[in-house]
Amino acid sequence: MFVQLIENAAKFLVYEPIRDESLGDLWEIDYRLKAEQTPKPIRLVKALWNFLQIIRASVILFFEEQIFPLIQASRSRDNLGRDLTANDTNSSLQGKVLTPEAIAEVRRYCKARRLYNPALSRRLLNDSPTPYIYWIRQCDRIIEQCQKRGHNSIDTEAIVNSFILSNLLRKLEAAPPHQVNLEAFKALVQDVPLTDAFLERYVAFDRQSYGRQLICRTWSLAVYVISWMPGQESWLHHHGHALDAIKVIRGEMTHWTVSPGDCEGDVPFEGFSRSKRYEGPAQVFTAGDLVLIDRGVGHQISNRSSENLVTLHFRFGHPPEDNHWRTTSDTEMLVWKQTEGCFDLLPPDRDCVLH
Amino acid sequence: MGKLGPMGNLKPPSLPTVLEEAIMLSLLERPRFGQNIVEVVSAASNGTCQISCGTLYPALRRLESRGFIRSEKSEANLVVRRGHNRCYYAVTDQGREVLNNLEAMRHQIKKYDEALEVVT
Repeated sequence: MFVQLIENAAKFLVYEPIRDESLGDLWEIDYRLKAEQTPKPIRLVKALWNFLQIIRASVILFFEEQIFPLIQASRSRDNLGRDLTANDTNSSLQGKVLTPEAIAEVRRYCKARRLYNPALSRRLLNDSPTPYIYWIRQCDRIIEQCQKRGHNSIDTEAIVNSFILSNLLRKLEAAPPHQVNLEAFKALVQDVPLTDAFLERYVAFDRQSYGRQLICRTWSLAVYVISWMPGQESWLHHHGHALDAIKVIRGEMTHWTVSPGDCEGDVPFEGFSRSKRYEGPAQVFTAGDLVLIDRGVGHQISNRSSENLVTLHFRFGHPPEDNHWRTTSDTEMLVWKQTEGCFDLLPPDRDCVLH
Repeated sequence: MGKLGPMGNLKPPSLPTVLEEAIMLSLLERPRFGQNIVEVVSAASNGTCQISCGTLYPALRRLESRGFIRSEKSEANLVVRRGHNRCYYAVTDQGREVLNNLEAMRHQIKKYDEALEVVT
């Protein structure tokens, strides 16, 4: 019973890194005393004394390894803040480029933030102070906004993907809109690393017709996912002055590209009215393929396979205006702050924030 | 304060305390676990240096975090230890260098004092 009491107390009172070895040593001392035929009361007192010493060691180590670094991190954060203010005036873009390393750092930081406060979380990053402090601050701001709205879980996927979109927009808006041609647009969107786990949230099939779920929208760009059940299709249309990039996420997309002169009559502009079906030669695209639609060029999409099809769309210019949107409170998650040049995260209202 | 020539590139905060040095010395010849260290240090000092558990484990963690010693878990004597592993510690090359430097420093100080006595 005494052994069980000590073991149970140790789970709460002894610092985890030394728990295993210190308790083992304690029982080994006790065994020796027993072998030397030490009276039981003395053994009991010695065991208790040693246990108190182990607790003392735990307190010392806890302060040295957990509390003291926290205080140091807090001090270094203040110093870093001062340094960055000075540096910001000289190099406004330093550390703001979203590299794969920065994404990995943001993920590590989000993971740490689930357990610790900002100061200790920053301390736990590999390089402290982190060179990706800009993104870490953005992270903190999003988490803070979420917490103000009562969402305490940290949505790493949404945060990371909002940064990816933010990075795309920064590049896209660096040039005047009329200078963004099809090639330039392709170069920007082809390697945008939105994650499958994130995109999957926007997949929603509807037996009636294909459905669009908006991921984000700014004055220049709309990003959305379209879910197609077998047999569903968009009819022939063009997008006016907007550029469109379509990436196949999963399934098989049958696609027609039509110049205005290639079909009888004009290619209609997209809208609420039902257009005609084009029956010319088509191309089939599979997961990972990217299709670009230039300004004024007609196109048509169909899911002629027996499997579901999911496509990701980047629309530079006005977004589609029709009745295929499936916009609900659980999908509009990212809000672009034009003046600040970054996204804020609006968590879904439902209680199924994924991680 | 005089120059710390024999200490090489070591900065003062890296120097072990007397207790830490005693622990490291006990690990020079062979790896030892916690209570074994306590016994060896106690015996070597004729019972004058008694290390309690409250001092031992923090000292071991500090030495390990500074790279002077390394630890390895062992499943020895598990029945007596009620399923808890033993943690064996050994001095690293860096630790040995620190001990050598400390010894060299002591030697230099001793020589300095002897020379001073001859002059005066």
